[in-house]
Amino acid sequence: MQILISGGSASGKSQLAEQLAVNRSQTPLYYFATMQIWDAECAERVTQHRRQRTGKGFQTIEVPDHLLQTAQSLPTGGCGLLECVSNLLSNEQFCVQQTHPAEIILDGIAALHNHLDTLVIVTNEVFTDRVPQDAAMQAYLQQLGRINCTLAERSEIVIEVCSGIPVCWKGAALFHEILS
Amino acid sequence: MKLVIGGYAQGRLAYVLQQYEKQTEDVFDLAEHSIFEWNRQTILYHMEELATQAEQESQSVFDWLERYLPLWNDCILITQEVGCGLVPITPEERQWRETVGRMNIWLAAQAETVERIFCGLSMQLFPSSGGVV
Repeated sequence: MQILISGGSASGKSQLAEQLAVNRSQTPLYYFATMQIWDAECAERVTQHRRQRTGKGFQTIEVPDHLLQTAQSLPTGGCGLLECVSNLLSNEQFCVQQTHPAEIILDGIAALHNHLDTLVIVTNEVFTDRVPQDAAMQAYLQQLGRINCTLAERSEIVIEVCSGIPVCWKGAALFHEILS
Repeated sequence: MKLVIGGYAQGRLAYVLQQYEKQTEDVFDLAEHSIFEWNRQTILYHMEELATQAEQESQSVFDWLERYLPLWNDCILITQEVGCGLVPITPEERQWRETVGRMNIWLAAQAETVERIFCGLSMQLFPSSGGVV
């Protein structure tokens, strides 16, 4: 099963994603961390997210890039939480400078989905503003939009989180079943 | 008139083409053409650019909308949500964002249906459907 969670910054996406992953009661339970740690601010965010996950049984795997290789090295089964697609895209587009970052990321996520019983994916809602003039930023938004549309199509459940409240775009019955 | 709103790169046009069984020749793109070139195509794409065009002509976009609306009975208008970013730095950009927001409210009030697109998925906002199952 694949679940896609989106929403604005600090909207409560992570908490909902963690809750869904934990409620699936599948082991092993992985947390795929994507943040490239550049500075103290990044490190602080990582510490905060780690604290939030403490005691929930997650095994953290760092995948700022090369998701496909990591996915292929995993044994079959279990549940994974991948957070988040917008970080992965920044890393692939701006650091690794891949020509087709969306394909690389979609291939990696498809491989994860194949290896796991459940994959919960966190992405970002950054599209409801005027389109930026900068070509690299435009390309970033186009790639992220395409990834999100493709992931939504392949997911059984799609949720937009708004101030901690889930708005269900797909699979409402299944979503409520997992949460109950 | 039907209104389809949503963010950038959310698959709004692809959704409309598929859902309403339209072809690319039915699409009139306001990011590419002046409204004065419109030739009865049934999909008007990038409606937010109508605000840009009106501004360039020193016209009120609402005057244009009033004039065109009776001709758009069988049309699907695709517009963008632009109001969720930071406040733009320049007064011109602030004004543009304000106009597009007001224009979208006006269009939604005239539309027989309003759909919001997110990650390629649709939710009917009006008439109220009570969400999707």
